[in-house]
Amino acid sequence: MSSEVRPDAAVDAGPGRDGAEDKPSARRSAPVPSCHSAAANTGAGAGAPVVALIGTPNSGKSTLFNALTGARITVGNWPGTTVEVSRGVWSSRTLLDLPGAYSLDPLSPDEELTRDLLLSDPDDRPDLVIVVSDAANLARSLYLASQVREHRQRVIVALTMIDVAHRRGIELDTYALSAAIGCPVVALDPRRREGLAALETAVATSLGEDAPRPRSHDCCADDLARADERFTWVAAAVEAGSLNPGDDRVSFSDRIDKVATAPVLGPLLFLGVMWLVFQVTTTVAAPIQDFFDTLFSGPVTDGALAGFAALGLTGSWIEGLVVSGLIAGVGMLLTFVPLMALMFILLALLEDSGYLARAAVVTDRLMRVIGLPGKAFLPLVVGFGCNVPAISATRILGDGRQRLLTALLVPFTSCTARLTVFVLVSTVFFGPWAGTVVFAMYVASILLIVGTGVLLRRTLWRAMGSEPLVIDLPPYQLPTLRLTAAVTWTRLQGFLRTASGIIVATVCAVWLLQSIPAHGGGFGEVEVEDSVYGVAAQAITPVFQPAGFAQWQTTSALVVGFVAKEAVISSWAQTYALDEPEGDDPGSLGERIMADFTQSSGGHPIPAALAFMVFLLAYTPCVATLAAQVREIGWRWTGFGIALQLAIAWGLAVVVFQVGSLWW
Amino acid sequence: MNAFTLADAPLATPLTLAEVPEAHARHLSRLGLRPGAAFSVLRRSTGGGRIVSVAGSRVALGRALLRGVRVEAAQ
Repeated sequence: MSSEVRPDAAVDAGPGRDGAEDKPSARRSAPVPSCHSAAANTGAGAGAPVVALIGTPNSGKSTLFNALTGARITVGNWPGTTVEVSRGVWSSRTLLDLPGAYSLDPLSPDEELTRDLLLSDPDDRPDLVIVVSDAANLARSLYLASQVREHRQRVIVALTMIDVAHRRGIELDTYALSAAIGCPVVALDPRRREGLAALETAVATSLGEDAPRPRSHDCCADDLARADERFTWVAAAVEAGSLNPGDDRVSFSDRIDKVATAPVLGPLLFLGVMWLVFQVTTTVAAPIQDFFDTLFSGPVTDGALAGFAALGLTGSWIEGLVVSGLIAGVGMLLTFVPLMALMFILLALLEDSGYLARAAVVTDRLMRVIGLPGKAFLPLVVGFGCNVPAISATRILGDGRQRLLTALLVPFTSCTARLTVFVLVSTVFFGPWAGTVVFAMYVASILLIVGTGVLLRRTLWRAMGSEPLVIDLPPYQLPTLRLTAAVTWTRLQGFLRTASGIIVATVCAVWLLQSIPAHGGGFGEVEVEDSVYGVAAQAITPVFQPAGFAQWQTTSALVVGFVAKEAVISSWAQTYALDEPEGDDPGSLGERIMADFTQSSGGHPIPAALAFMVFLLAYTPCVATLAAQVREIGWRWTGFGIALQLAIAWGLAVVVFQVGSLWW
Repeated sequence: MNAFTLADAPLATPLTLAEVPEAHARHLSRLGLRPGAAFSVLRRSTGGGRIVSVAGSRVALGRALLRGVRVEAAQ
């Protein structure tokens, strides 16, 4: 830290608080009001003071938030919005981490929320606002402070990135800066936990006093002139607070960027990074997933069965519910946990290191085709491994509409669970051409994403995506273990909270429907064909007549595939009452499928099989993906997504079969 | 007056921002790119954009924007 920066300077009051006596109507009757209905629904509880962190993107705001609150945080969408706000407890105060914003003139839903929370209702504002400001980019960071200071609000400016500023030769005088801005200024380094005590003292002092008088800002008529006034004010504050403005030399980050954003090398590096992400979310995660899978289908199930046998309940409905419902459901949920944890760690590393902004630059031109920014590439790549973490990865997108569109496109990426079904079906129907057909499914997946993206762009989101790329490239930095772990844990908790109920409930519901007899017989003692589930599958079956695969066994497999694609093959095996095939040899199951497809398609099994694979590719991937979608985009849009997927899947399957059966 | 668009601006030369497309003026000004601001173009980026250096920070600008931004060689 530069010796000229004095963290303790902040505790001194700025000159702005001297004149707090005027305008009594705008003053709080007590320094700690208790009416934060929205802000305090979690955190330190109602009645506790609410402190809000605001700051430009990349200002180190979330790092500070994590440093102040530790693990006691909740992350969730702000009620009625898709904007994520973290709440935490900091010394018995509620701390809010508001979305990154450059100014209070909103250009995005995130910024709009920040403005609304800070300004809309005078009785429901935070008690104190900490403007997290990047010391290395002070002029840019202080624009927000200039706007907040126009309102009657307790403000503290927290200077971050002091180390980066120091390396650039920037030296700041926090006393002078504090005097110029009219509020306390604290220099800190949240990554190394320096200056946090000084911030604590400054906040406590400030909360014990009245809000300072707003800076006068009644100069100008229009927005541009007002903005100009603010820029002038900011420039004066920076001038006053800078002992040395530093120099703009070629930095370490510039040297990396020479490769990372170069026309040819940039994409190559990006592909390398994406390959690593893909590898980790598939190859590395697979053995851990297998472990949980084996644990639950093996020892845990066996233990439960033995337990029920000891109680004399073998074959009872309770045994069925616990073993086929609860244990199977929880087991499925847990197989996703290591995968999600790895994904969240990778995301945090990419974000925190600064590489994500470069990746956005590299892929920008390509992604513009479907109206999404370059960053949207990452969730789509991850989707080819597994859709569930991919949906959560849409979080890297700042704009709510872009997040929504990406979350609706992710289910069309062909995940590895679908691959197993593709391999079986294409081995049965296409023999030596199986590899080519599977490859074609991946091409079809990409075309589906582009096609659906363009379709949604042209219809629902006409206004979106016209913004050209303008993105700040923060300096590279080493990610810190603490922040990565905190972010990963918070996101994982969020996933488990939402997904666990949906996944376990769905698995139990399928078991229940398969156990209820449709035409008499005991509960849990019927064949699938005679259960409510089997009868329902038979009822739906005619829908697939024009697509050439209208047999109830296949429909049943597709319905189970709604829960998880891994279950499609085992469902076929179960309904045909055959053993599940081992390895690549489809065996007798293949013969049965071939025979049924030939029959249902009226002698055109090849186009029927293609139609089936296209349907499988495009319809809802699995219940865990839906659970992740509900968490990210809410029930309504998840429902829209399901309808969209089913419509596209059915339409394409029919086209493939009808056109295909003209040739084969 | 030595004026050109950002698409034709030389690399590693001190420049002054003269005019930005009105639709993007607010967005750019947040990152310090206001008319009158001193900056320089560091390099071309993937996809034909530019990376500029302004007030100590680095900003990537997409290709679609370049023709609409007018710059002058700094005095």
